[in-house]
Amino acid sequence: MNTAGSKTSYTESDKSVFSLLESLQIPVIVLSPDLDREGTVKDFTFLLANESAAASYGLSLETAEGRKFKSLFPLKDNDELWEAMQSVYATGEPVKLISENLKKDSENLFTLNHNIQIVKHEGYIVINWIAENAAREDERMIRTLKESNEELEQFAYIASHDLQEPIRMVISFTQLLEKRYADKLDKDAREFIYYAVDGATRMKVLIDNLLDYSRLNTSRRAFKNVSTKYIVDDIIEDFAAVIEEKDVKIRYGELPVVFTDESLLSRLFTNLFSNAIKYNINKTEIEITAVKNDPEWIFSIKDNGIGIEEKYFEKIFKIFKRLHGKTEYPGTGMGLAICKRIVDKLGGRIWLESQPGLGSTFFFTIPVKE
Amino acid sequence: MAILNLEPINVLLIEDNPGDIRLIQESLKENKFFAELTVISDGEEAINYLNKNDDYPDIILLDLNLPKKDGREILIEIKNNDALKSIPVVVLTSSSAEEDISKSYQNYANCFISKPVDLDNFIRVIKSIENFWLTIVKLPKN
Repeated sequence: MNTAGSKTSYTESDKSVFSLLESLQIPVIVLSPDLDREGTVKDFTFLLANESAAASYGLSLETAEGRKFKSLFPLKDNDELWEAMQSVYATGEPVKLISENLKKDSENLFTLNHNIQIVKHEGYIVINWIAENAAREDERMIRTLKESNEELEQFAYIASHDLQEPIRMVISFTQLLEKRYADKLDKDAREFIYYAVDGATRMKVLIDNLLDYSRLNTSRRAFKNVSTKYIVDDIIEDFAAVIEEKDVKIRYGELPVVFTDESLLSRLFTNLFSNAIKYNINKTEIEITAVKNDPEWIFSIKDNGIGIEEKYFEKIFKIFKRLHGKTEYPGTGMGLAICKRIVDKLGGRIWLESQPGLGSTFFFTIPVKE
Repeated sequence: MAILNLEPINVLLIEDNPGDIRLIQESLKENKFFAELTVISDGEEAINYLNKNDDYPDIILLDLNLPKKDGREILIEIKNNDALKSIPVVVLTSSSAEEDISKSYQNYANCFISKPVDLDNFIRVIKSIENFWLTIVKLPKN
C-alpha cells in the first residue's frame, strides 16, 4: 500500500485483501500514520474503509480514502480514542475500547455506541468493530477471572494460616503424651508417637511452604539497588555449618548490583544454593556467575550434584513435584516452584542445563534497570 | 526464683483455643511457676473484664485470632486506654505473618511471639515469658 496520496496503485495481493475486507460484515478501517519529523503521530490517513464501515459512519468509500481521520472525526488531544490509537501504534499492543466505559467528555462520533478493537499491522492501524455482547463477555470474563484468582489466593493464605493451629495441637499433645507417660510406654508406643509427630511436622513444613508461596502473590515488592555479592555472602554465612560439615567448595566471580526486591532475590539464591548442596553425593562444588546480556543479567548456579534428566526440566518447577523419595532427599516439592514464582515476580526467566550424574546449572535473569 | 515471689502474679490469658489454653497451663505447671491464670476466650468479654475490674492483671497474653473482637482490635483498645495501656501485652499467636508482626508493634504490643510447634520449645517460650516479664523486668504497681 502507498500512502502518498488518494490516488494509489495497488498490487494484486493488496486488492485481494481489500476484497476480503469488503466482504466482511463487520466494519473495518485501515489507517496510515502521519508522522512529523520527530516521529510523533499527528494524524492518521484513511487507506480503506470497507462497505460495512462506510455504512456505519456515513462515509462513502470514495470520500473517505485519503482523508485525515481528525478532519472527519474531530478529537481532543486527551481523547481516549486518540490516546489508544497512539498507544497501539507505539507499542503494537492491541486495545479494546468499550463505548459505555469511556469517559463522557471523550465521546466522539467514532466511538459513540461503537465498541472497537484497535490493532497494529505492518505499520498500519486497523480498527474493527466488536459486537457488543462479545465485548461485554470479554470484560465480564476478565473480571470473573481476576476475582476468582484473588479469592483463590486469599483462600490459600487463610487455609494455610488457619491450618497451623490444629497441627500444632497434634504435635504438642502427642509430645506431651510421650513426656508425661514416658515410663509407661513401650518401644512400640514410642515408635507410633514418633511417626505421628514426624507426619504432623512434615505437614507443618508443607503448610509453611504453601503459605510462603501464596504470600509471594499478596505481599508488596520493594525494588531498590541490591548487591548480589552481599546476598551470596550472607547465604554462605547462613550455610556455614553445612558447608564445613560437607566440605563444600564455593567459587564466585564478580557479582553485580541489580535493581530488584532484595528479600525475593535472597530467597531465590537460598533455594537454588540449598538444592545444590542437598542433591549432591560428591564432594560438592558450587560456582556462581553473573553475565550482563542487555537488557538483562544472567545469573547461574552450577553444581556437580546428581543432575536431572532432561524430560523433567519443566516438571520440576511445578508445585509439589518431586523426583525422589522422602527418605532419599527430604523436601516438600515447593522449592523450585517458589523460585519460578519469584523469578516471574522479578520480571525474569529461569531454566536449567543438566546431565544426570554430572551436575546441574540453574540460570535465571534479572532485568537491567533502564 | 519464682518461689521467692509471695504474691502470685496475675496473668490474663486471652485465648479461645482450648488446646492452647491447656498447653499454656501445662507449660506453667512444668515450670512450677506461681502464677494465677485467668482465661477469657472471647474478645468482647476480655475488654469488658478489663474495664470492669479494678484489679488489673500484671501481664496479658493475647492471641490474635479470636471470636467476635479479634486480638488486633483488643490490642488497639488496650493501648488507647489510659488505665490499661501500661499493662504489658505479649502477643502469643500461631501467626508468623510479617504483617501481623509489624502491625502488632505499631499498635504498641510489648512483644510478639509465634507459638512454637514443638512442645519443648513451647514450654521454653512460656518459661522465658514468665522469667522475663515476671522476674527480670520491673512492672508498675496497680
